[in-house]
Amino acid sequence: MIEINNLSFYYKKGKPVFEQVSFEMASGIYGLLGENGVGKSTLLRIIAGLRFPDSGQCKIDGKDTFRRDPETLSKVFLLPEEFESPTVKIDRFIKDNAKFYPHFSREQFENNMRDFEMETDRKFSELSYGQKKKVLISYGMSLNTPYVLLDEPTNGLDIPSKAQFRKVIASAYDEDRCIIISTHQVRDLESLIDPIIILDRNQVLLNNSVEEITRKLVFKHTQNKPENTYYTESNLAGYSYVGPNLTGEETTLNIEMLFNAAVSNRTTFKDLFNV
Amino acid sequence: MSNIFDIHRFGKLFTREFGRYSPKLIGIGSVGLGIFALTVIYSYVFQSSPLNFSFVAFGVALTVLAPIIYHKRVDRTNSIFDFTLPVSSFEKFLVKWSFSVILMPAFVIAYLLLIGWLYRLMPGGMCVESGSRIIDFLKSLSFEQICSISALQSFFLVGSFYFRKHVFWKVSLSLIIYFLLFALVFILFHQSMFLENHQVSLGINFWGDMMYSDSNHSHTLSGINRNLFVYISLNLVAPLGMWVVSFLKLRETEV
Repeated sequence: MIEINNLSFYYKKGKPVFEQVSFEMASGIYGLLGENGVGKSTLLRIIAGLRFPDSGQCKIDGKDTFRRDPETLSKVFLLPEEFESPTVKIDRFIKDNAKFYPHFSREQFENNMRDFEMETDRKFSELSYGQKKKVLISYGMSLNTPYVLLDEPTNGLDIPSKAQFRKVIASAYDEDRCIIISTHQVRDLESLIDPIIILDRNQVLLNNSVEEITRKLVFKHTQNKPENTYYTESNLAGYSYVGPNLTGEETTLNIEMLFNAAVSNRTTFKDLFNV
Repeated sequence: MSNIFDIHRFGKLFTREFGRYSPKLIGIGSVGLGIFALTVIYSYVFQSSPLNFSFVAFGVALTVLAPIIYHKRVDRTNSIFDFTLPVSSFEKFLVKWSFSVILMPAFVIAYLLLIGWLYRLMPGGMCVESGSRIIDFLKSLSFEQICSISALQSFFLVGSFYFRKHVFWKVSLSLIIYFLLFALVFILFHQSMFLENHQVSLGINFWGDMMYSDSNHSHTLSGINRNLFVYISLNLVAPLGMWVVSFLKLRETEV
C-alpha cells in the first residue's frame, strides 16, 4: 500500500505543490488526473523516491520512499514522461537493468514487445519517442513490480499503439498490483482506470472507485438544458451533464466530464467524496 | 538481504557500470595509442625524444577528453533509471568510488606501462630510452605516491557530484585554490609559532614534498611519509572528507 500522510512539498518556499495532503492507494489501476502544474509528476517522483517530501511522509508498504532502500525500490517502476533514453541496444538495457528486479519475466517482456510490434535487437537511438515509450512500457510491466507509476504513458503513442497499451496493461494487471497512470489523455484510458484520483492546487479533490463515483453522480445526455447539475456541456446532440445521483441510477462514467465537474465544484466534491 | 550493502547486488551494479564505462575506456585507450603512434613518428622525423612531443600531445588530449571522462550530467531526464535502480546509495557510491579512485589511476598506470614497453620495442635509441624512462618512473613510484594519485582523484569524484558542467576545469581550479590556501595556512602557522618577524617562502609539490625557506634557513621536508602533517592532510583527511561528502551528496540528490 502507498500511504501519503500530511505530505507537503515545495519547489519554492511559499508556493507549495502539496500542503498537508493525505491519502492512500492500494491495488487497482489508478488514474491520476489534474490540471497542468498541480503536481502529478512530482507526486509520482516522490513515490519513486526521486523527490523528498519537505514534511510528512510517503510510504510504500510502511517504508519511507525517500530512503531509497533497495527493497522498496525493487517494488516500484516509474516511467517518466520525459526521459533521456539509454544509448545502448534494447537487449543490453534489459540485461543490465532487469537483473535487479526479482520478478522480471523475459517471456512477458517479449510478449509485450510483440504486442507493440517492436523488435528487441534495435538501438534506443534508432527509435522514435513513441517507440522508446513502448519499449519502456513493455519493460516496466514485465518487471512485475507491485507498484507501477506511468507518467503520461500514451503521449507519443500512435492510435493503434494506444489500444495495444491498454491490452498490455490489462494483461499485466492482477489484484495485488497498484498501477498509477498520470494522464491528460483520459479518453485513451477510460475503460482501464479505476479508481480515480483528482489532484487540485495542493489538495486531493477525489480519490474513489468508479463504482463509488457512479453511485453518487450521474453522467447523462439530454435535449434540453438541465438544471441542478455540477457541470453541463453543450454539444451537437444537446447537453451532457454531471449531476447528483438522487435515484440510484446506473450511468457510465465520463472521466473528462467528471474532471470538469470536480474542478468547478471543489468544495462540493470534497464534501461529497469525504476527502 | 541488507539494505546497505549486499555483495551480489554490488557485483551486479559494478558489471552494469563497467559495461557502460568500458566504451569510454576503449575510446580513451585508442586515443592514447594514437598519440603513442604520433610520438613515434615525431621521434623518427625530428630525431628527438618522443617524450618531448608526448607532453604536448597528452596535454591536448587531456584537455579534450577530460570533460568527457568526468562529465556526467545528473538531471530529471537522464538519471531516473539510475536513481530508481534497486541498489543502495552506498553501493552506488562504492561503484563510483572504485571507478574514480581505483580503476582510473590503475588504467593510467597500466597505459603508461604499455607505452613504456611499446617504446622499448621500437627500433632506434630515442624510443628505447624514452621507454626505459617511463618504466623507471613507474618502478620508482612508491605506494604512498600511488595513494596520492588516488587521493587526487577523490577531488574529481566529489566534483562530479557537485558540478553539473566543466567538472574537470572547475575541480582543477578548486585544487589550485586548495593548495594555495594550504600553503597560506602553513606559512601563517609557521610564522606565528616559530619565526616571528621572519619572511617565509614555501613550495609544495604533487607528492607532498614541502620546501620552505626563511631569512636564516632553507629546508626541504621531502617524502610524504616523513612529513606527517602534509601526508595526513593530503592523503587521509582530504580524501576521506571528499568520500563522505560525495556519498552524502549522492544520497541527498533529487531528480
